[in-house]
Amino acid sequence: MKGRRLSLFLLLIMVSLLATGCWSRKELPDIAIILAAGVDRTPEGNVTLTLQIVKPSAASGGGGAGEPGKEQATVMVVSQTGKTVADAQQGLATRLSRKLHWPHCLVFIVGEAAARDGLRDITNYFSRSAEPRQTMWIAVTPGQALDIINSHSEIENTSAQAIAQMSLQNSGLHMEYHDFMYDLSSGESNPVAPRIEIIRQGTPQGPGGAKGEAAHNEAVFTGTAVFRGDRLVGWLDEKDTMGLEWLRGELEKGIFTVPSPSAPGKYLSFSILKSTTKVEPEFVDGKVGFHVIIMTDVDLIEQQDTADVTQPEILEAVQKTAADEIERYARDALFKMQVLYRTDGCHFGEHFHQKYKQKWKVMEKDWNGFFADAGADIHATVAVRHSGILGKQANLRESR
Amino acid sequence: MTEHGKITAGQLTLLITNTVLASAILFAPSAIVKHAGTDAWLSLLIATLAGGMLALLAIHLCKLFPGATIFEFPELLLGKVLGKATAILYIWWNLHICAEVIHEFSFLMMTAFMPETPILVFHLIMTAIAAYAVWHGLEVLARVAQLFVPFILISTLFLFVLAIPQMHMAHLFPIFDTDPLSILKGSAVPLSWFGEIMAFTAVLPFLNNRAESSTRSVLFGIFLVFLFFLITVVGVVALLGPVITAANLLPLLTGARLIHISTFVERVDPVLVIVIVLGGFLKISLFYWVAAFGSGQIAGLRDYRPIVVPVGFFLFVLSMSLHESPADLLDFLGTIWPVYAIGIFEAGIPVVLLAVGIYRAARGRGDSQ
Repeated sequence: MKGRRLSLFLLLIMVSLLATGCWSRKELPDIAIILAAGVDRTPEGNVTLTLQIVKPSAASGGGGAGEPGKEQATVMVVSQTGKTVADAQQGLATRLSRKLHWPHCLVFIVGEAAARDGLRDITNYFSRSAEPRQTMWIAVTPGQALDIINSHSEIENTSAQAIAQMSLQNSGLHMEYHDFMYDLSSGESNPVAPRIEIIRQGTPQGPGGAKGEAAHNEAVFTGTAVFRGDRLVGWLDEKDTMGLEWLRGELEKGIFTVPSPSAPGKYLSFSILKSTTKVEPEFVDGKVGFHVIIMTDVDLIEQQDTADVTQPEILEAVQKTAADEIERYARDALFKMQVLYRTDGCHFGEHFHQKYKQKWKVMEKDWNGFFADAGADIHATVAVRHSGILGKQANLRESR
Repeated sequence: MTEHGKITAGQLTLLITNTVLASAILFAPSAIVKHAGTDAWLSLLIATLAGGMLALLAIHLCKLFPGATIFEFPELLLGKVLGKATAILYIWWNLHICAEVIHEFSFLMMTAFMPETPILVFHLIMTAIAAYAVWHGLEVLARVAQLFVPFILISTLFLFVLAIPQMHMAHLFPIFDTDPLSILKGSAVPLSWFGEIMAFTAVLPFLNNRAESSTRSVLFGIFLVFLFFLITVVGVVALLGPVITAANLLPLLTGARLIHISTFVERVDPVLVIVIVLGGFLKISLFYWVAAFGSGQIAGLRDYRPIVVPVGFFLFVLSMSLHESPADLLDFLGTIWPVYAIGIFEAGIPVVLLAVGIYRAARGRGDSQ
């Protein structure tokens, strides 16, 4: 009986502990949800942190409270300068009525000045704190990150959601924060990140559009930012980005257009189904070399010439032309990485390390130099898997 | 001394699996990878083989004196004074592990999930719940293990399957890139966790059919530990890469937070929290039981229950005062703990005991002839 009474007593104490609620609770009305964060560097060397924060009343859907046709802004943007990211955030926190809430941050934008100065100072906060998710998208802008965070999207509720959607769905090179950090930390590679810019785009229709707010600006991806170590050294355009993705073996989707082999002035367009890249490093007489083999499966999605692609020899010529074009893409990108920027953003160091473990230990420090002076031959093969619903044989599998 | 409970061979396997894994999967990956890099799996393999030998050592010790625990047989082997001293050392060791685990658990909960909660709360609640479980004895603990450990293992597996899209196999290569000495150094850390099996020298006597199944179920437990340890280390390195794994205090948590399949399966780390809390609770309870039960045996008490609460208070105070900072905790786990635990309690003393036991048995046989 005594034990029973004691356990009852203990149980009562436990219940009273539970009834007080939690210490670290985060109630929705107490937090300001961050959707996007941007970091810039001021000329004085300080850090400017810009945050896109959800406006609670607008996000909960006011139920037609606003005037018809005039949309309510769903987010607000705040900005603050400090010595470190945390310092700037503290400056913001003291001016907001709510506690900043990081875990739902979708995108992380870095301004050019900050990226050229070196990212390590900035990323430390985002890696050290357990709050921001490592899966947020990272992008670099040739300008101020502030402007990107400040932009709005006509289709999505917020520009942050638009950027996240584009990163998830669209072709092009997109980086999650932790993948970027891996490239930055591994010593085998240099990171790359997508380039994001404000571009005048589209004409919104309807009452708002008709009143003269015609063309407006949106943040869109326009290529790649190339780093050496943690410093931004230059940019690649969209074409070279595709070449870089082929070199890295990360190309999942995209469309490319090649001149027709049979009719001058006409073009063929292909959609990429699948692509694999094999990199075979070699080390002869103190010189590094790479054999790159790219194997790509494509759909023929548009054909301006009239050749019958169901004929094996014509298909052969088409595939050869496409393969030549892929080689040109990859060679152009590699040329820029080797000659213009002298930085290995192609993961070639990873392949080299795996094959030459002992030599790597000596070469690791000067790897970018070895990479820049390395010879490389690129060989691409293309297999046209489908040619749409035109032509006698829709499926050309057997004529490969 | 009363502990009427009996445990089955299956329960023993599950208890062993959880006892080693619960905190190891949280803290060991970073410590192993720091030394062995991409060859962490090799360190783990070495540690498992050595850990298996330690387990056999524990089983043989128990077979020398059927029915006696580690708190009783040293006295039969080494005489009253030395024997009691050894038993007291073992009680200290169990208390120490238990306090370490409470500390690790509280540190994790505070750092990763509830940064504003006073750490005292976690120490107190965990000790109190464990005390309740210990009060009810070994059999209850074993049944709780039977209920929770399969859930823990399946959830862990589930998390890693969800994480596969985020893994990069290239992070796991090159293999055999680390020098043998570093690989051995890397194996010391997981071995100190495997060595915690020595605590089962107090549990083995309560196995219901001791003779046939103890070796098999202990070794099967080791195999399960190896399997899940391997999945964890390889999975975390594939997710984060060796450099970030080594630099991260809680790589498993960071890895779990990367999980997202498109936009509809994400933020699954609460599953990990459940796994950690359940596993931590069971592990703490087991060492707590061993310490309380052992103290009772040494003191010659009829029942160990009166000292459960005092031991709990001691554990609470000890765990609160163990480490001043996370850096101190990790440094201790990575450098001092392996030497201290393996050198003295997990291999040192047991080897001496076994040697004395075999010598005595041989001489005894000689005398009788």
